[in-house]
Amino acid sequence: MLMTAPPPISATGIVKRFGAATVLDDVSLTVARGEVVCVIGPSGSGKSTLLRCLSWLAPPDAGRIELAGERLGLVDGGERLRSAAEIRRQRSRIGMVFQGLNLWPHLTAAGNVMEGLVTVRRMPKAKARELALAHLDRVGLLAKADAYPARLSGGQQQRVAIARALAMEPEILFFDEPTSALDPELVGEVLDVMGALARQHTTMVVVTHEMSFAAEAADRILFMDEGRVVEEATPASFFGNPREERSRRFLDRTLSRYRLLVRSP
Amino acid sequence: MVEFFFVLIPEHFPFLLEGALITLQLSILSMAAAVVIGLGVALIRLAKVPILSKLCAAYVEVWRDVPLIVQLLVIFFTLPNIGIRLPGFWAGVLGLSLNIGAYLSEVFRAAISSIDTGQRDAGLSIGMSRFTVYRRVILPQAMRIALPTLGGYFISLLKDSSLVSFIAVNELLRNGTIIIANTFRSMEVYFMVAIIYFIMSFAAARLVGWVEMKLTPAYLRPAAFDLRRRLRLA
Ligand SMILES: Nc1ncnc2c1ncn2[C@@H]1O[C@H](COP(=O)(O)OP(=O)(O)OP(=O)(O)O)[C@@H](O)[C@H]1O
Ligand SMILES: [Mg+2]
Repeated sequence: MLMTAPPPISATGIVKRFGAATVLDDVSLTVARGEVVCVIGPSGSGKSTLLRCLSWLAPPDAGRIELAGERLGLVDGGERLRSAAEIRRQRSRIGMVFQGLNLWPHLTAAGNVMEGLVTVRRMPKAKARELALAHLDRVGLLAKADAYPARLSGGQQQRVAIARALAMEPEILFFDEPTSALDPELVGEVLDVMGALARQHTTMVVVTHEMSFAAEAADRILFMDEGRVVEEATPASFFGNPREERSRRFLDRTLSRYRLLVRSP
Repeated sequence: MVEFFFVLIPEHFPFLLEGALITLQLSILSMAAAVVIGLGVALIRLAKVPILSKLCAAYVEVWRDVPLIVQLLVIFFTLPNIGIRLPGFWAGVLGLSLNIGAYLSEVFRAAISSIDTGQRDAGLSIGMSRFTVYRRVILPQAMRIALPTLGGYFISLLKDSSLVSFIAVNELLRNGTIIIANTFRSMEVYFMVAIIYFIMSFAAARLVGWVEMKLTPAYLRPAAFDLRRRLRLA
Protein backbone atom coordinates (compact mmCIF):
# COMPACT_ATOMS: atom_id res chain seq x y z
CA MET A 1 0.00 0.00 0.00
CA LEU A 2 2.79 2.37 0.92
CA MET A 3 4.31 2.06 -2.52
CA THR A 4 1.10 2.83 -4.41
CA ALA A 5 1.26 6.21 -6.10
CA PRO A 6 -1.81 8.38 -5.54
CA PRO A 7 -4.22 8.55 -8.50
CA PRO A 8 -3.60 11.36 -10.99
CA ILE A 9 -7.04 12.79 -10.30
CA SER A 10 -9.39 12.11 -7.48
CA ALA A 11 -12.47 14.26 -6.98
CA THR A 12 -15.18 13.90 -4.37
CA GLY A 13 -18.44 15.74 -3.89
CA ILE A 14 -17.91 18.34 -6.60
CA VAL A 15 -20.63 20.97 -6.68
CA LYS A 16 -20.71 23.79 -9.22
CA ARG A 17 -23.39 26.42 -9.48
CA PHE A 18 -23.96 29.16 -12.00
CA GLY A 19 -26.29 31.59 -10.30
CA ALA A 20 -29.31 29.61 -9.17
CA ALA A 21 -28.55 26.62 -11.40
CA THR A 22 -26.65 23.71 -9.89
CA VAL A 23 -24.71 22.39 -12.85
CA LEU A 24 -22.70 19.77 -10.97
CA ASP A 25 -24.36 18.14 -8.01
CA ASP A 26 -22.11 15.99 -5.85
CA VAL A 27 -19.96 14.46 -8.57
CA SER A 28 -17.11 12.15 -7.60
CA LEU A 29 -14.55 10.64 -9.90
CA THR A 30 -11.21 8.95 -9.42
CA VAL A 31 -9.00 8.11 -12.35
CA ALA A 32 -6.21 5.60 -11.83
CA ARG A 33 -2.84 5.93 -13.54
CA GLY A 34 -3.07 4.71 -17.12
CA GLU A 35 -6.84 4.57 -17.03
CA VAL A 36 -9.10 5.95 -19.77
CA VAL A 37 -12.46 7.23 -18.57
CA CYS A 38 -15.04 8.34 -21.11
CA VAL A 39 -17.73 10.73 -19.95
CA ILE A 40 -20.92 10.72 -21.93
CA GLY A 41 -24.30 12.28 -21.46
CA PRO A 42 -26.83 14.58 -23.06
CA SER A 43 -26.08 18.18 -23.91
CA GLY A 44 -26.12 20.43 -20.87
CA SER A 45 -25.53 17.60 -18.41
CA GLY A 46 -22.40 19.28 -17.08
CA LYS A 47 -19.62 17.35 -18.82
CA SER A 48 -17.64 20.39 -19.90
CA THR A 49 -18.17 22.01 -16.53
CA LEU A 50 -16.80 18.90 -14.83
CA LEU A 51 -13.57 19.10 -16.85
CA ARG A 52 -13.31 22.82 -16.20
CA CYS A 53 -13.68 22.20 -12.46
CA LEU A 54 -11.14 19.39 -12.50
CA SER A 55 -8.62 21.67 -14.23
CA TRP A 56 -9.48 24.64 -12.02
CA LEU A 57 -10.52 26.77 -14.99
CA ALA A 58 -13.87 27.02 -13.22
CA PRO A 59 -13.20 26.40 -9.52
CA PRO A 60 -15.94 24.28 -7.94
CA ASP A 61 -18.17 25.68 -5.19
CA ALA A 62 -17.71 22.62 -3.04
CA GLY A 63 -15.88 19.33 -3.06
CA ARG A 64 -12.34 18.18 -2.97
CA ILE A 65 -10.00 17.52 -5.87
CA GLU A 66 -6.63 15.90 -5.54
CA LEU A 67 -4.03 16.02 -8.26
CA ALA A 68 -1.64 13.13 -7.70
CA GLY A 69 -2.39 13.30 -3.99
CA GLU A 70 -2.05 17.08 -3.74
CA ARG A 71 -5.05 19.25 -2.99
CA LEU A 72 -5.95 21.15 -6.18
CA GLY A 73 -6.54 24.87 -6.02
CA LEU A 74 -6.90 25.13 -2.27
CA VAL A 75 -4.35 24.94 0.49
CA ASP A 76 -4.91 21.62 2.20
CA GLY A 77 -6.51 21.80 5.61
CA GLY A 78 -8.17 25.16 5.12
CA GLU A 79 -10.33 26.46 2.36
CA ARG A 80 -7.78 29.08 1.49
CA LEU A 81 -6.96 29.52 -2.20
CA ARG A 82 -3.47 28.59 -3.26
CA SER A 83 -1.25 31.32 -4.65
CA ALA A 84 -1.60 32.15 -8.34
CA ALA A 85 1.83 30.64 -9.01
CA GLU A 86 0.88 27.39 -7.28
CA ILE A 87 -2.35 27.15 -9.23
CA ARG A 88 -0.43 27.71 -12.46
CA ARG A 89 1.99 24.97 -11.55
CA GLN A 90 -0.91 22.61 -10.86
CA ARG A 91 -2.73 23.55 -14.03
CA SER A 92 0.39 22.87 -16.07
CA ARG A 93 0.23 19.27 -14.86
CA ILE A 94 -3.22 18.84 -16.38
CA GLY A 95 -3.45 18.72 -20.16
CA MET A 96 -6.58 19.97 -21.84
CA VAL A 97 -7.88 19.63 -25.38
CA PHE A 98 -10.99 21.64 -26.04
CA GLN A 99 -14.02 21.28 -28.24
CA GLY A 100 -13.38 24.43 -30.23
CA LEU A 101 -10.41 24.80 -32.49
CA ASN A 102 -8.35 27.03 -30.29
CA LEU A 103 -4.80 26.83 -31.42
CA TRP A 104 -3.19 30.24 -31.26
CA PRO A 105 -3.52 31.44 -34.85
CA HIS A 106 -0.52 33.76 -34.78
CA LEU A 107 1.87 30.90 -34.00
CA THR A 108 2.87 27.99 -36.22
CA ALA A 109 2.10 24.41 -35.24
CA ALA A 110 5.56 24.09 -33.67
CA GLY A 111 5.15 27.55 -32.10
CA ASN A 112 1.91 26.45 -30.47
CA VAL A 113 3.53 23.36 -29.00
CA MET A 114 6.66 25.24 -27.87
CA GLU A 115 4.85 28.14 -26.25
CA GLY A 116 4.15 26.47 -22.90
CA LEU A 117 7.61 24.95 -22.75
CA VAL A 118 9.19 28.38 -23.24
CA THR A 119 6.88 30.61 -21.20
CA VAL A 120 5.85 28.19 -18.45
CA ARG A 121 8.71 25.68 -18.27
CA ARG A 122 11.31 28.36 -19.13
CA MET A 123 13.02 26.01 -21.52
CA PRO A 124 15.54 27.43 -24.03
CA LYS A 125 13.95 27.90 -27.45
CA ALA A 126 16.11 25.38 -29.28
CA LYS A 127 15.39 22.64 -26.76
CA ALA A 128 11.68 23.51 -26.76
CA ARG A 129 11.52 23.31 -30.52
CA GLU A 130 13.26 19.95 -30.52
CA LEU A 131 10.71 18.62 -28.04
CA ALA A 132 7.85 20.24 -29.95
CA LEU A 133 8.92 18.49 -33.13
CA ALA A 134 9.05 15.18 -31.29
CA HIS A 135 5.49 15.69 -30.07
CA LEU A 136 4.25 16.78 -33.48
CA ASP A 137 5.80 13.61 -34.83
CA ARG A 138 3.82 11.65 -32.27
CA VAL A 139 0.57 12.99 -33.70
CA GLY A 140 1.85 12.51 -37.26
CA LEU A 141 2.31 16.18 -38.09
CA LEU A 142 6.06 16.67 -38.21
CA ALA A 143 5.73 17.81 -41.82
CA LYS A 144 3.36 20.60 -40.78
CA ALA A 145 5.57 22.00 -38.02
CA ASP A 146 5.95 25.39 -39.66
CA ALA A 147 2.39 25.75 -40.92
CA TYR A 148 0.03 28.27 -39.35
CA PRO A 149 -3.26 26.91 -38.00
CA ALA A 150 -5.21 28.59 -40.80
CA ARG A 151 -3.38 26.33 -43.23
CA LEU A 152 -4.29 23.17 -41.32
CA SER A 153 -7.48 21.16 -41.49
CA GLY A 154 -9.64 20.99 -38.38
CA GLY A 155 -8.42 17.47 -37.71
CA GLN A 156 -4.81 18.53 -38.01
CA GLN A 157 -5.47 21.48 -35.70
CA GLN A 158 -6.87 19.19 -33.04
CA ARG A 159 -3.87 16.90 -33.38
CA VAL A 160 -1.57 19.88 -32.85
CA ALA A 161 -3.69 20.80 -29.82
CA ILE A 162 -3.09 17.28 -28.49
CA ALA A 163 0.66 17.68 -29.09
CA ARG A 164 0.51 21.05 -27.31
CA ALA A 165 -1.05 19.40 -24.26
CA LEU A 166 1.28 16.37 -24.38
CA ALA A 167 4.39 18.54 -24.55
CA MET A 168 3.80 19.70 -20.99
CA GLU A 169 4.01 16.04 -19.91
CA PRO A 170 0.84 16.25 -17.85
CA GLU A 171 -0.25 13.82 -15.14
CA ILE A 172 -3.54 13.47 -16.97
CA LEU A 173 -5.14 14.58 -20.23
CA PHE A 174 -8.68 15.95 -20.47
CA PHE A 175 -10.51 15.97 -23.77
CA ASP A 176 -13.74 17.92 -24.16
CA GLU A 177 -15.49 16.63 -27.27
CA PRO A 178 -12.36 17.13 -29.36
CA THR A 179 -14.08 15.95 -32.53
CA SER A 180 -17.50 17.55 -32.31
CA ALA A 181 -16.45 20.70 -34.19
CA LEU A 182 -14.95 18.68 -37.03
CA ASP A 183 -16.27 17.66 -40.40
CA PRO A 184 -17.17 13.97 -40.26
CA GLU A 185 -14.32 12.91 -42.54
CA LEU A 186 -11.76 14.50 -40.17
CA VAL A 187 -12.98 12.80 -37.00
CA GLY A 188 -11.14 9.54 -37.62
CA GLU A 189 -7.60 10.92 -37.64
CA VAL A 190 -8.12 12.60 -34.26
CA LEU A 191 -9.71 9.53 -32.71
CA ASP A 192 -6.82 7.45 -34.06
CA VAL A 193 -4.32 9.63 -32.19
CA MET A 194 -6.42 9.42 -29.03
CA GLY A 195 -6.77 5.67 -29.42
CA ALA A 196 -3.00 5.35 -29.70
CA LEU A 197 -2.57 7.39 -26.53
CA ALA A 198 -5.08 5.15 -24.77
CA ARG A 199 -3.16 2.05 -25.83
CA GLN A 200 0.04 3.63 -24.47
CA HIS A 201 -1.76 3.94 -21.14
CA THR A 202 -1.94 7.69 -21.06
CA THR A 203 -4.26 8.69 -18.24
CA MET A 204 -7.23 10.36 -19.90
CA VAL A 205 -10.71 11.65 -19.25
CA VAL A 206 -12.55 11.98 -22.54
CA VAL A 207 -15.90 13.70 -22.93
CA THR A 208 -17.25 12.42 -26.20
CA HIS A 209 -20.29 11.70 -28.29
CA GLU A 210 -18.32 9.14 -30.30
CA MET A 211 -19.83 5.99 -28.87
CA SER A 212 -17.65 3.61 -30.85
CA PHE A 213 -14.54 5.35 -29.53
CA ALA A 214 -15.87 5.13 -25.97
CA ALA A 215 -16.71 1.47 -26.45
CA GLU A 216 -13.25 0.63 -27.75
CA ALA A 217 -10.89 2.90 -25.85
CA ALA A 218 -12.47 3.37 -22.44
CA ASP A 219 -11.69 1.35 -19.36
CA ARG A 220 -14.69 2.90 -17.71
CA ILE A 221 -17.75 4.88 -18.79
CA LEU A 222 -19.23 7.67 -16.73
CA PHE A 223 -22.76 8.56 -17.78
CA MET A 224 -23.91 11.99 -16.62
CA ASP A 225 -27.31 13.61 -16.67
CA GLU A 226 -28.46 16.85 -15.09
CA GLY A 227 -25.23 17.40 -13.23
CA ARG A 228 -25.05 13.96 -11.63
CA VAL A 229 -23.25 10.74 -12.37
CA VAL A 230 -26.09 8.41 -13.26
CA GLU A 231 -24.12 5.32 -14.10
CA GLU A 232 -20.52 4.23 -13.92
CA ALA A 233 -19.62 0.97 -15.63
CA THR A 234 -17.28 -0.84 -17.96
CA PRO A 235 -17.99 -0.18 -21.65
CA ALA A 236 -19.16 -3.76 -22.11
CA SER A 237 -21.76 -3.56 -19.39
CA PHE A 238 -22.74 0.06 -20.14
CA PHE A 239 -23.31 -0.45 -23.85
CA GLY A 240 -24.44 -4.05 -23.61
CA ASN A 241 -26.63 -3.92 -20.57
CA PRO A 242 -27.11 -0.46 -19.06
CA ARG A 243 -28.42 -0.57 -15.50
CA GLU A 244 -30.20 2.75 -15.44
CA GLU A 245 -33.33 3.67 -17.31
CA ARG A 246 -31.86 7.08 -18.24
CA SER A 247 -28.72 5.46 -19.66
CA ARG A 248 -30.86 3.14 -21.74
CA ARG A 249 -32.96 5.97 -23.14
CA PHE A 250 -29.85 8.01 -23.94
CA LEU A 251 -28.22 5.07 -25.69
CA ASP A 252 -31.37 4.29 -27.67
CA ARG A 253 -31.55 7.85 -28.92
CA THR A 254 -27.84 8.23 -29.62
CA LEU A 255 -27.12 4.85 -31.11
CA SER A 256 -30.11 4.91 -33.39
CA ARG A 257 -29.07 8.35 -34.58
CA TYR A 258 -25.52 7.27 -35.29
CA ARG A 259 -26.70 3.84 -36.48
CA LEU A 260 -23.93 2.21 -34.55
CA LEU A 261 -23.69 -1.45 -33.91
CA VAL A 262 -22.21 -2.30 -30.59
CA ARG A 263 -21.51 -5.89 -29.80
CA SER A 264 -23.06 -7.25 -26.65
CA PRO A 265 -20.59 -8.74 -24.19
CA MET B 1 1.45 82.90 -60.26
CA VAL B 2 5.04 83.86 -60.78
CA GLU B 3 4.91 85.77 -57.54
CA PHE B 4 3.41 82.75 -55.74
CA PHE B 5 6.19 80.43 -56.78
CA PHE B 6 9.13 82.78 -56.77
CA VAL B 7 8.34 85.21 -53.99
CA LEU B 8 5.76 83.86 -51.57
CA ILE B 9 6.92 80.27 -51.41
CA PRO B 10 10.61 80.99 -50.85
CA GLU B 11 9.75 83.63 -48.31
CA HIS B 12 7.16 81.84 -46.21
CA PHE B 13 7.63 78.14 -46.77
CA PRO B 14 10.45 77.71 -44.26
CA PHE B 15 8.31 79.21 -41.50
CA LEU B 16 5.42 76.97 -42.47
CA LEU B 17 7.71 73.95 -42.45
CA GLU B 18 8.80 74.84 -38.95
CA GLY B 19 5.11 74.72 -38.03
CA ALA B 20 4.71 71.42 -39.88
CA LEU B 21 7.54 69.98 -37.82
CA ILE B 22 5.72 70.97 -34.64
CA THR B 23 2.53 69.45 -36.05
CA LEU B 24 4.38 66.18 -36.61
CA GLN B 25 5.92 66.18 -33.16
CA LEU B 26 2.57 66.98 -31.60
CA SER B 27 0.85 64.19 -33.51
CA ILE B 28 3.46 61.52 -32.91
CA LEU B 29 3.79 62.23 -29.20
CA SER B 30 0.02 62.44 -28.73
CA MET B 31 -0.50 59.21 -30.63
CA ALA B 32 2.09 57.37 -28.56
CA ALA B 33 0.52 58.62 -25.33
CA ALA B 34 -2.98 57.85 -26.63
CA VAL B 35 -1.99 54.23 -27.36
CA VAL B 36 -0.74 53.86 -23.77
CA ILE B 37 -3.87 55.50 -22.34
CA GLY B 38 -6.21 53.59 -24.63
CA LEU B 39 -4.63 50.22 -23.91
CA GLY B 40 -4.53 50.88 -20.17
CA VAL B 41 -8.16 51.94 -20.07
CA ALA B 42 -9.22 48.98 -22.20
CA LEU B 43 -7.42 46.49 -19.95
CA ILE B 44 -8.81 48.04 -16.77
CA ARG B 45 -12.34 47.94 -18.14
CA LEU B 46 -12.01 44.38 -19.41
CA ALA B 47 -10.60 43.25 -16.07
CA LYS B 48 -13.58 44.97 -14.38
CA VAL B 49 -11.32 46.46 -11.71
CA PRO B 50 -13.86 47.63 -9.09
CA ILE B 51 -13.89 51.43 -8.89
CA LEU B 52 -11.26 52.12 -11.51
CA SER B 53 -13.19 50.63 -14.41
CA LYS B 54 -16.21 52.80 -13.61
CA LEU B 55 -13.96 55.84 -13.65
CA CYS B 56 -12.49 54.75 -16.95
CA ALA B 57 -15.94 54.26 -18.44
CA ALA B 58 -16.88 57.77 -17.32
CA TYR B 59 -13.69 59.19 -18.84
CA VAL B 60 -14.39 57.55 -22.19
CA GLU B 61 -17.97 58.77 -22.17
CA VAL B 62 -17.16 62.37 -21.25
CA TRP B 63 -14.24 62.72 -23.61
CA ARG B 64 -16.21 61.41 -26.52
CA ASP B 65 -19.15 63.71 -25.84
CA VAL B 66 -17.28 67.04 -25.79
CA PRO B 67 -15.81 68.60 -28.95
CA LEU B 68 -12.04 68.36 -29.15
CA ILE B 69 -11.59 72.11 -29.47
CA VAL B 70 -13.58 72.66 -26.28
CA GLN B 71 -11.48 70.04 -24.48
CA LEU B 72 -8.31 71.80 -25.56
CA LEU B 73 -9.57 75.17 -24.39
CA VAL B 74 -10.76 73.78 -21.07
CA ILE B 75 -7.42 72.10 -20.43
CA PHE B 76 -5.43 75.16 -21.51
CA PHE B 77 -7.41 77.56 -19.34
CA THR B 78 -8.12 75.28 -16.37
CA LEU B 79 -4.68 73.88 -15.65
CA PRO B 80 -3.10 77.21 -14.64
CA ASN B 81 -5.97 77.76 -12.21
CA ILE B 82 -5.16 74.56 -10.38
CA GLY B 83 -1.51 75.46 -10.28
CA ILE B 84 -0.26 73.43 -13.23
CA ARG B 85 1.70 75.52 -15.72
CA LEU B 86 2.07 73.64 -18.97
CA PRO B 87 3.52 75.23 -22.09
CA GLY B 88 0.99 75.30 -24.93
CA PHE B 89 2.73 72.45 -26.71
CA TRP B 90 2.39 70.08 -23.78
CA ALA B 91 -1.13 71.19 -23.04
CA GLY B 92 -1.81 70.30 -26.65
CA VAL B 93 -0.22 66.88 -26.30
CA LEU B 94 -2.24 66.28 -23.14
CA GLY B 95 -5.50 67.38 -24.75
CA LEU B 96 -5.00 65.43 -27.95
CA SER B 97 -3.82 62.25 -26.26
CA LEU B 98 -6.67 62.22 -23.75
CA ASN B 99 -9.10 62.71 -26.60
CA ILE B 100 -7.68 60.07 -28.95
CA GLY B 101 -7.00 57.78 -25.96
CA ALA B 102 -10.72 57.66 -25.20
CA TYR B 103 -11.47 56.51 -28.72
CA LEU B 104 -8.54 54.10 -28.87
CA SER B 105 -9.64 52.42 -25.65
CA GLU B 106 -12.81 51.38 -27.44
CA VAL B 107 -10.80 50.17 -30.42
CA PHE B 108 -8.56 48.06 -28.17
CA ARG B 109 -11.52 46.78 -26.17
CA ALA B 110 -13.23 45.58 -29.33
CA ALA B 111 -10.02 44.05 -30.70
CA ILE B 112 -9.28 42.20 -27.47
CA SER B 113 -12.88 41.00 -27.12
CA SER B 114 -12.76 39.61 -30.63
CA ILE B 115 -10.18 37.02 -29.57
CA ASP B 116 -11.98 33.79 -28.73
CA THR B 117 -11.94 33.01 -25.00
CA GLY B 118 -10.93 29.47 -25.87
CA GLN B 119 -7.48 30.82 -26.66
CA ARG B 120 -7.23 32.24 -23.17
CA ASP B 121 -8.42 28.96 -21.64
CA ALA B 122 -5.84 27.07 -23.70
CA GLY B 123 -3.13 29.31 -22.27
CA LEU B 124 -4.34 29.08 -18.68
CA SER B 125 -4.68 25.31 -18.95
CA ILE B 126 -0.99 24.85 -19.75
CA GLY B 127 -0.10 26.97 -16.74
CA MET B 128 0.34 30.45 -18.24
CA SER B 129 -0.39 33.40 -16.01
CA ARG B 130 -3.07 35.87 -17.06
CA PHE B 131 -0.29 38.32 -17.79
CA THR B 132 1.51 35.84 -20.05
CA VAL B 133 -1.74 35.03 -21.82
CA TYR B 134 -2.16 38.71 -22.58
CA ARG B 135 1.43 39.27 -23.56
CA ARG B 136 1.89 36.19 -25.71
CA VAL B 137 -1.56 35.28 -26.97
CA ILE B 138 -4.10 38.08 -26.83
CA LEU B 139 -2.22 41.32 -27.38
CA PRO B 140 -0.12 40.25 -30.38
CA GLN B 141 -3.33 39.38 -32.19
CA ALA B 142 -5.41 42.26 -30.87
CA MET B 143 -2.76 44.80 -31.85
CA ARG B 144 -2.71 43.54 -35.41
CA ILE B 145 -6.48 43.71 -35.54
CA ALA B 146 -6.44 47.26 -34.17
CA LEU B 147 -3.62 48.43 -36.40
CA PRO B 148 -5.58 49.68 -39.44
CA THR B 149 -7.94 51.63 -37.17
CA LEU B 150 -4.98 53.03 -35.26
CA GLY B 151 -3.47 54.19 -38.54
CA GLY B 152 -6.72 55.90 -39.44
CA TYR B 153 -6.77 57.71 -36.09
CA PHE B 154 -3.20 58.84 -36.60
CA ILE B 155 -4.01 60.38 -39.96
CA SER B 156 -7.03 62.16 -38.45
CA LEU B 157 -4.82 63.33 -35.64
CA LEU B 158 -2.34 64.91 -38.05
CA LYS B 159 -5.17 67.08 -39.31
CA ASP B 160 -7.06 67.58 -36.05
CA SER B 161 -3.90 68.78 -34.37
CA SER B 162 -4.52 72.03 -36.26
CA LEU B 163 -7.06 72.82 -33.53
CA VAL B 164 -4.16 73.25 -31.16
CA SER B 165 -3.44 76.53 -32.98
CA PHE B 166 -6.25 77.93 -30.83
CA ILE B 167 -4.15 77.48 -27.71
CA ALA B 168 -1.19 79.35 -29.12
CA VAL B 169 1.00 76.48 -30.24
CA ASN B 170 3.08 77.45 -33.24
CA GLU B 171 2.16 74.53 -35.37
CA LEU B 172 1.46 74.59 -39.08
CA LEU B 173 -1.92 76.32 -39.14
CA ARG B 174 -0.97 78.93 -36.57
CA ASN B 175 2.23 79.79 -38.42
CA GLY B 176 0.08 80.23 -41.49
CA THR B 177 -2.24 82.64 -39.72
CA ILE B 178 0.74 84.55 -38.35
CA ILE B 179 2.03 85.06 -41.89
CA ILE B 180 -1.39 86.14 -43.03
CA ALA B 181 -1.64 88.67 -40.21
CA ASN B 182 1.49 90.30 -41.56
CA THR B 183 0.99 89.94 -45.31
CA PHE B 184 -2.80 89.71 -45.79
CA ARG B 185 -2.21 87.00 -48.41
CA SER B 186 -4.87 84.66 -47.02
CA MET B 187 -5.59 82.68 -50.14
CA GLU B 188 -2.01 81.92 -51.07
CA VAL B 189 -0.87 81.09 -47.56
CA TYR B 190 -3.85 78.86 -46.76
CA PHE B 191 -3.18 77.15 -50.06
CA MET B 192 0.38 76.40 -48.97
CA VAL B 193 -0.86 75.20 -45.60
CA ALA B 194 -3.34 72.92 -47.33
CA ILE B 195 -0.65 71.50 -49.57
CA ILE B 196 1.58 70.70 -46.59
CA TYR B 197 -1.25 69.01 -44.70
CA PHE B 198 -2.06 67.03 -47.81
CA ILE B 199 1.51 65.89 -48.27
CA MET B 200 1.85 64.85 -44.63
CA SER B 201 -1.44 62.95 -44.56
CA PHE B 202 -0.78 61.34 -47.89
CA ALA B 203 2.66 60.19 -46.82
CA ALA B 204 1.31 59.01 -43.46
CA ALA B 205 -1.42 57.01 -45.17
CA ARG B 206 1.11 55.28 -47.42
CA LEU B 207 3.36 54.61 -44.44
CA VAL B 208 0.49 53.17 -42.41
CA GLY B 209 -0.48 50.96 -45.33
CA TRP B 210 3.06 49.72 -45.69
CA VAL B 211 3.48 49.01 -41.97
CA GLU B 212 0.17 47.19 -41.99
CA MET B 213 1.26 44.95 -44.81
CA LYS B 214 4.62 44.28 -43.18
CA LEU B 215 3.03 43.39 -39.86
CA THR B 216 0.19 41.34 -41.26
CA PRO B 217 1.40 37.81 -40.75
CA ALA B 218 0.87 35.04 -43.23
CA TYR B 219 -2.07 33.64 -41.27
CA LEU B 220 -4.11 36.81 -41.71
CA ARG B 221 -3.17 37.79 -45.23
CA PRO B 222 -6.01 37.59 -47.70
CA ALA B 223 -5.78 34.95 -50.36
CA ALA B 224 -4.90 37.60 -52.97
CA PHE B 225 -1.40 37.83 -51.51
CA ASP B 226 -0.98 34.12 -51.82
CA LEU B 227 -2.30 34.13 -55.31
CA ARG B 228 0.22 36.76 -56.31
CA ARG B 229 3.03 34.81 -54.78
CA ARG B 230 1.85 31.65 -56.42
CA LEU B 231 1.72 33.38 -59.78
CA ARG B 232 5.14 34.84 -58.98
CA LEU B 233 3.89 38.35 -59.44
CA ALA B 234 5.28 39.45 -56.12
N1 LIG C 1 -20.31 30.02 -17.59
C1 LIG C 1 -21.57 29.60 -17.43
N2 LIG C 1 -22.51 30.41 -16.92
C2 LIG C 1 -23.77 29.99 -16.75
N3 LIG C 1 -24.21 28.77 -17.05
C3 LIG C 1 -23.33 27.91 -17.57
C4 LIG C 1 -21.96 28.27 -17.78
N4 LIG C 1 -21.32 27.21 -18.30
C5 LIG C 1 -22.23 26.24 -18.41
N5 LIG C 1 -23.44 26.64 -17.96
C6 LIG C 1 -24.65 25.81 -17.91
O1 LIG C 1 -24.32 24.64 -17.25
C7 LIG C 1 -24.98 23.54 -17.83
C8 LIG C 1 -23.98 22.47 -18.17
O2 LIG C 1 -23.14 22.96 -19.19
P1 LIG C 1 -21.97 22.11 -19.81
O3 LIG C 1 -21.36 22.95 -20.86
O4 LIG C 1 -21.10 21.64 -18.73
O5 LIG C 1 -22.74 20.89 -20.45
P2 LIG C 1 -22.18 19.75 -21.40
O6 LIG C 1 -22.59 18.47 -20.78
O7 LIG C 1 -20.76 19.96 -21.67
O8 LIG C 1 -23.02 19.98 -22.73
P3 LIG C 1 -22.59 19.80 -24.26
O9 LIG C 1 -22.69 18.36 -24.56
O10 LIG C 1 -23.61 20.60 -24.99
O11 LIG C 1 -21.22 20.35 -24.39
C9 LIG C 1 -25.75 24.07 -19.01
O12 LIG C 1 -27.09 24.21 -18.63
C10 LIG C 1 -25.12 25.40 -19.27
O13 LIG C 1 -26.08 26.29 -19.78
MG1 LIG D 1 -19.66 20.50 -23.35
